Amino acid sequence: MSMHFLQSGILATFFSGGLLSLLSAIGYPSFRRHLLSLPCHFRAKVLAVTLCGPLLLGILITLFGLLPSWMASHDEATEHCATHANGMAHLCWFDPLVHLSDQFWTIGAGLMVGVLGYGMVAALRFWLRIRRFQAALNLISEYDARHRVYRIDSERAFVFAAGLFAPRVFISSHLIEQLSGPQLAVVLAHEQSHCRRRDMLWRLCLSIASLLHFSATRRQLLRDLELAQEQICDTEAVQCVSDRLLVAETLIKIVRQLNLSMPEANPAISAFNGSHIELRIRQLLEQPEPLPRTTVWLSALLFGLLLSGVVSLTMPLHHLL
Amino acid sequence: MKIIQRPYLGELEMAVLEYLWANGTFDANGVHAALGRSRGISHNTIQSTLERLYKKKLLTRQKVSRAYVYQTSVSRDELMGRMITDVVHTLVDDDADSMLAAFIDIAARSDEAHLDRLEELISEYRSNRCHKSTS
Repeated sequence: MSMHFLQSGILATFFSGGLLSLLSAIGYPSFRRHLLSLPCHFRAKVLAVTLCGPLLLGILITLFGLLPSWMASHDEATEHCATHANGMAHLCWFDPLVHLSDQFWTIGAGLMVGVLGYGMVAALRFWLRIRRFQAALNLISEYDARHRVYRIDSERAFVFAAGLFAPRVFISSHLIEQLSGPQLAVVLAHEQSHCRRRDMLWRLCLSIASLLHFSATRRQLLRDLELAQEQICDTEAVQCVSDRLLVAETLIKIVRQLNLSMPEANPAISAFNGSHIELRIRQLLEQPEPLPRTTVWLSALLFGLLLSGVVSLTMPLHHLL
Repeated sequence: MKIIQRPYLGELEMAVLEYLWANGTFDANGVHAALGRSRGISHNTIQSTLERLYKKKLLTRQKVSRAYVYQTSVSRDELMGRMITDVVHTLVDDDADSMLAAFIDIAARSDEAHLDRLEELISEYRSNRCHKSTS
């Protein structure tokens, strides 16, 4: 029974997740235009839900779809499907597939193990890269107690926050020299905000949770999430220095410093877009408008409707899936 | 992604290098006496750390009677310079986004004309703001 349950569950999760990914890929480009006009805090939340949507909803739909089988195995709903009379837990629609052929399942399981193995190797290599990068940063940086950052002696201009669980801010000595006191305060407030919010960790978790998305949609969603996170940190920097225009001017100054002092990245992979610079500056110039209450209520209502829809469709889903 | 190809150093390896930079040439016994005992590290661990550093071409060695005597082959500044260069190259790689959050995407570039336009826009807002506050 448990093998049927597992087979049905895996098949249904991939099916529902794939279907939702397809819907996201079709619908996201037009939804994105509306999304970009929303305030960054709310947008980041919507993007996080969208990123893990296919996986979470796939699992949720599967769980609710399998509920009658679970009930049947406990003698509570055996009458709805003749196949349940034998006490086998399954999703009715997938049942013929489950019984199709052992070869089909062997190939499928082999593929899945292969993909999982590849994913695990990739994850391990990425983990090693992060560790090596962190180790190198630890060796080349010195704690600057005055600014409460880690300083790297370099003639290049860069500043960034790195680290998943205990993130820290690293800044080059050249950039400290180039920035005025208030500009440095803007940069540090922005980066400290990334550290407080654990943005790198969130991004990593969401990039794993969004694996069921098509890769182009996933890339776009992650870039939009990055933009929202940057804009949130810009907003927190504004709160720190109480001058929106100073933050905007500092952004321009840093981009100019980067253009002057950093080596060109591989032109095949590097975008010449200045890291959403225009969108960030426009957000800083416009007066922030509070999120309309109707949007919040409508979003909550939609989410509630979606959840209750899945719950109420338990039995039909069971047969549909 | 290019990532710190050149020497990835652990804490002990760095401590050994720092010791040799400060004190010149030593054999495994000398390094163990200076670093190993205070840290509760065995002679074998120090020996293998020296061996690793030698394989990474950060140390040279010479056999004196029955033991190897180690000496650094790069200066501290040179090694730090190499590592900073590697970190900078990692930063400009597009893949670095997944490891860090930069104030400005370091791999990205903006053309100067575009930046000039944005700067003009900011100046306009600033002068409008001054105008409003004076009137």
